[in-house]
Amino acid sequence: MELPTLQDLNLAVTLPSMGLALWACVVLAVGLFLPERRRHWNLVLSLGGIVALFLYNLTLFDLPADRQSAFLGMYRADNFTAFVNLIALVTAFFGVLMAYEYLKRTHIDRGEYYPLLLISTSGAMLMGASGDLAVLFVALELLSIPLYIMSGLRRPNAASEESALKYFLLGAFSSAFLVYGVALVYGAAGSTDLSEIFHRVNAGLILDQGLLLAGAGLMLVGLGFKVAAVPFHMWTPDVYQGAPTAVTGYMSVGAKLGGFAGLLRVFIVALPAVSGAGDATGWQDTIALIAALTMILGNVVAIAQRDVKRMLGYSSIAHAGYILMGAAAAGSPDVRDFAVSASLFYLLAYAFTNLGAFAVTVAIEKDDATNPQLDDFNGLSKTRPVLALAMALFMLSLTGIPPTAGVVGKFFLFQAAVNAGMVWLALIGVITSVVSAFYYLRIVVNMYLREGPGEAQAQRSFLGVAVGLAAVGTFVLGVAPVLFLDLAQRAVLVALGG
Amino acid sequence: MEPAPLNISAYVVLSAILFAMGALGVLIRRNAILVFMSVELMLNAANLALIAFARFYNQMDGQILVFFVMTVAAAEVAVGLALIVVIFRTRRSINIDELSRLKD
Amino acid sequence: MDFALVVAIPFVLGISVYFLRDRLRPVQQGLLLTAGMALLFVFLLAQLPRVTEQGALEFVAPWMPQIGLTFALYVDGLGLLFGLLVTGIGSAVMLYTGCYMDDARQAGRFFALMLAFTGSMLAVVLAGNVVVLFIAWELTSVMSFLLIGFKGADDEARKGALQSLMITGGGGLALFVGLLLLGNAAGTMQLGEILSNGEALRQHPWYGAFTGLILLGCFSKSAQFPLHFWLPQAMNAPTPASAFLHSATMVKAGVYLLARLYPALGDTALWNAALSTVGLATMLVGAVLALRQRDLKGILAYTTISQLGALVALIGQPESAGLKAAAVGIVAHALYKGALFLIAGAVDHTTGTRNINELGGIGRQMRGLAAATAIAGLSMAGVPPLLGFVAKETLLETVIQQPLALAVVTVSAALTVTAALRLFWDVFMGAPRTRLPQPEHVPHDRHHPFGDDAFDYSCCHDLPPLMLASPGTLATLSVIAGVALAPLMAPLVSAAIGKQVSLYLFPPSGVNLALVLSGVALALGIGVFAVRRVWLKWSIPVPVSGVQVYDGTIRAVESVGDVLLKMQSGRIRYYLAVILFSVLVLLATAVPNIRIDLPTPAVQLTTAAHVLEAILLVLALAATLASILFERHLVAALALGIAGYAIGGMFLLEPAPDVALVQFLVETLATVLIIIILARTSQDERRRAMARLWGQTRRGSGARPCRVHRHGRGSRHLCPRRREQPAHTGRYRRMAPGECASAGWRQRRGRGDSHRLSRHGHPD
Repeated sequence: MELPTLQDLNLAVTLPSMGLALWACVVLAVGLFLPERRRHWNLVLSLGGIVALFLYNLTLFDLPADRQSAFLGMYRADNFTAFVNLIALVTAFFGVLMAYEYLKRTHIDRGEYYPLLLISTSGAMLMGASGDLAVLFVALELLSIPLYIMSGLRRPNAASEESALKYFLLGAFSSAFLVYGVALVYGAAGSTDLSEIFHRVNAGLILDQGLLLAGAGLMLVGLGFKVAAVPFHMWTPDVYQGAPTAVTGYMSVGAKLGGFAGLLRVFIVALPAVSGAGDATGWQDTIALIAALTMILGNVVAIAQRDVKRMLGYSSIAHAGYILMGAAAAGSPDVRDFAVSASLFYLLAYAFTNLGAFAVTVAIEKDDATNPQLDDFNGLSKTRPVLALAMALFMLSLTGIPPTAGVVGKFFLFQAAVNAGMVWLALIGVITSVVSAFYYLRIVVNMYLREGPGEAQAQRSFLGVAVGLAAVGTFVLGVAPVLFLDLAQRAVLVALGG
Repeated sequence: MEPAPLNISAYVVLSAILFAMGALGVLIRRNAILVFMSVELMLNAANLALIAFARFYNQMDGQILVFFVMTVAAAEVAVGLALIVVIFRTRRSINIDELSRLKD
Repeated sequence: MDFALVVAIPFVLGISVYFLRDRLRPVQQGLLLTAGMALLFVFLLAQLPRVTEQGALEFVAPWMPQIGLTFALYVDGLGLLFGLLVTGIGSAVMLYTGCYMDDARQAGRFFALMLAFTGSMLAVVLAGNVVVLFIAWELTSVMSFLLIGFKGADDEARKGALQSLMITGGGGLALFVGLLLLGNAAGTMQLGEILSNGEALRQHPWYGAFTGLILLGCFSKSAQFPLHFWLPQAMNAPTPASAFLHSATMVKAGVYLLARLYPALGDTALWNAALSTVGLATMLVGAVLALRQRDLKGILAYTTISQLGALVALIGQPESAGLKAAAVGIVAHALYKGALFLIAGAVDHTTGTRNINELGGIGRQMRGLAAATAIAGLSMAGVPPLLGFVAKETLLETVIQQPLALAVVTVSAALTVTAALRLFWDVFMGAPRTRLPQPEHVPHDRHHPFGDDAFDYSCCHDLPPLMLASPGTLATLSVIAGVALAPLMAPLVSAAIGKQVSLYLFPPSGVNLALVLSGVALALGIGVFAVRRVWLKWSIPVPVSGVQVYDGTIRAVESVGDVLLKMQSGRIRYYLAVILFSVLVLLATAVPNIRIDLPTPAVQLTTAAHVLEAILLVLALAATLASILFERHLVAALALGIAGYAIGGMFLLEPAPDVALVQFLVETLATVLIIIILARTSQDERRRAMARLWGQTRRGSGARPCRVHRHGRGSRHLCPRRREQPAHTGRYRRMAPGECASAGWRQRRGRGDSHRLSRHGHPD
């Protein structure tokens, strides 16, 4: 057997995720030696790395076929990867930007936040790039472990610690299922390479159909936990409530992004043809059912919430349902490409919108370690009109009302579901969207039609920039999504070779 | 390929039993550390299945995966124990049933 | 291209006026915008001959070429009719608003919203693509919401604003999926192609689904029974917005879309039944409920609902028989109802009240306003030669063959006459009940259903002439259009419905049934008005109102949410169990299918390796079992370690010595670490148990977490009792001095040294 040369590894294309992990180490090392008054270098270094890699990542779209794989096929550098990288870097950018002042304000400005966030982001990117189950698993843990720590960053706040331990125990439990699922799939198909699995399944060269199905089901548990799909969602509101708000904001997008990237990779590339009892759409029905349950539960329960972070937690569950709808649609071969790009686009839209909403939440959070409540938004349009306008935009976007990113994203997802013949799922999507309008718009009503102090913490420049950029992104994606749509459309998931 | 002469099903069943017992342990234990250790047992069960399959297919993929799983497990141990120590210092308890303040 | 400008100009104007709001007085702003809108009106009017000759004009610009979506405009007679309505009524309203608003900054904001609405509404009626249409459609709902909440609000109004957005926005989402399905069925999102594809669409298996959804969207927008209740709630908006959005234009968007899609979807059994049933029901319900109102705007709102019902019912007539009457009705209604809304605003502006019980006899002071009201009211009542009469006649003629519909229309028409009379007589005639002007005293009325205006409009209480100009013009137009039917109305209506029609004031064949019924309705209406003293005391029993249904639905959803919330117990163990249970359900289908051959060979213990393997196997199982069974933590941890070692041993025999080595290493490390920490924590637990034994059992458990919060960063809701506990905390510390190696640094912990902690506070 010939050993691969360095050139075969094709390291350059892996730079966004690998580079970010390495950069995280640099930031960590530098952070150790920074005195109190030079802490801003953490921010500068992190943002610099993110922006540089973002720009570099733009060159990684449409690579020639021979450069699309690295580490002997374990890392896939196709357009899907590039797009996931793009969303992940955007998420990290906002995650850093909205945390800086918040960390100072809440006295948890420990150097760890930044490197942890960067490592977690690189995990999310790696999940999208995985061409092998081994990479998928490692990436999942790379994504998760920093998040466990970040949730507990506000120690010795009991809520923060509890959320960290909850997240950790439940996360470890569900990744054990993922590992076992990987083992079973490997056992059934005889390979951990996603493309190879696809070809063996297609050619009927598998040891046992039931084993493969069980493995796929267990992997769905692990990935479903990450994206907070019902019934693996229960950690979400608790962890969102307890974790520091900036972390929650990052987590609500980053973890979901990684989970969905992995989910699509596994189920679209490796297992598109895995069937239930001779039925060609075995997992498709399961995912569709999960999507429906997720949309319903997330939206219905969110109505009763008064705590903003919990509400956004349930709302993020609901949005996982919408994206799962796209994943389910992608199970139909003829709408696969459209559904994948629809899901990706929605993830991007969701990233901007949700990060923006969390940035505003950070802005109105008081310093006394109480969570922001819905009533804290009262009268915000009088005291902070721009902030209120941005929040209104985010809420409209989350509901799916123009002119925002959310409506374009929902348009594609519904379109994908309808194309795949799942009209019932699209209908559930619409009904739950109407339900969601009730709790999202309640915030708008509170801001615009209620009197109240509605005070935000004093002007915070970085946070303001984050809110502004997110608002611009939400708006631009809503009216002129051309550029990103184009990129999303080129992100096609297929197995290699054959 | 020619499967190696190994009773693969016996191994799968054994690992499944271990996995299930691990899951059961997670459910019945109240001490966070033991809950966590039971999770590690589940990972071990998965490792066993992986090794068995690797042998069955006579290839390295499974073994490499086991390395990854172990490494990650070690990292989880480190982080998990750190979290447990932190929470113990705050609450003087690591009984997971007492960690239920965040709800509704 | 020019039509794209038509859509874009209002937005540009809106933004400019917003930024100029500090420079221009409200009146100047109003004049500027009136000029702009009038220009658009003239432009659109100039297109009428072109459209009549050439048919629909299409404009297509790339928007999202990746998925074949374009920004398309489709301008035909119907679109032009509505475009003219929007810009025409818009000009009048802008002019009026300039006088209505006193504060320049408020006016600027208000104008910006109104112009944004105008642009969106124009985009709705000129859209050539269902996606563009939907987006513009939802934008109009959002603008409506913002305008309803413009003045700030009390609880009731806030609820109304949210309700109106929920109903129209939610209906819009239903429309969204309906249009998506429609586009899928037609294979295109372009309106032009959809319209020419009607035959295939009506046969399509999804016809019921997408038609139902689209109808739902249209009915919600056009306030059709039983979704009508949002419209009266929306009357909290400033009156110019009510006149513009909630009477003349936005609520007609639903009617527009129905008429627009008529060639594609219309004239099937489902369509006709749904539209005529809902439309007639709405017509009657609106007319009856209008009687109960005391608020001028309330009366107008309910009669608007009634009129919208008539329009919907007309579009549901077979073989496009009702389109002519619908087109005439749309124009007539916009003219007289626009005028009446503006008048109601003017009355409110001058007298400070809109309550009809407090008004009366103000016509003596305000002759101009009274005259305008009289004309508009006559048109509303359907008196010749006004346009309202023509509308009513064509309506009656259309349904002349259908006894039930005819009865409903006649009764509703009669009640509309009553409403028109109340608006004129009870406000302008009779004994004066209000002194004019009374700038200081703004009576606060308990029965006032929509709350008082939060703003002080009271600086100019003499009616400015410009404020009279708009309603006056609209009212006059009702007359002109009624008289000059052939040159003015006929071409417009012909273009709108795409075939040549003739309109006449009186039937050329002499007296017919429609004319008779019209007279009957008029007489009946006057009669009902005459005895109003009697029925005003009645309370019309409403078994269940839309608002109650809406509230009930919300409550139902909330209680479902509460049930679901019960599952969110906060307990990790419970969450773990849910995950495990779900896994079992997921696997339920897979596991029975596992068919690996299980030959169950005779146990071969021939070689040493086999024996060893068997021993390890048994050991692993036994250790695992032990870890579950043993109560003591340390033993369980050890057992788990042994299980790990046994598995490592199996790796060794596999043979995978490298893996086994790593397994041993990791297992050793993990077990040792775990046992160390376990020992530490249980030691403490033991001490705590001792402490409890010495008599602090109850309060101890409550106090534990609070000790840390004493350091100032605990969250309050997590520990409500922390202030009551210090004594105990101290006691506890005495009981177990130095019980924990970390006690020292715990005390150091404060705001300042968190950084230091992060370096040294990590566990070893």
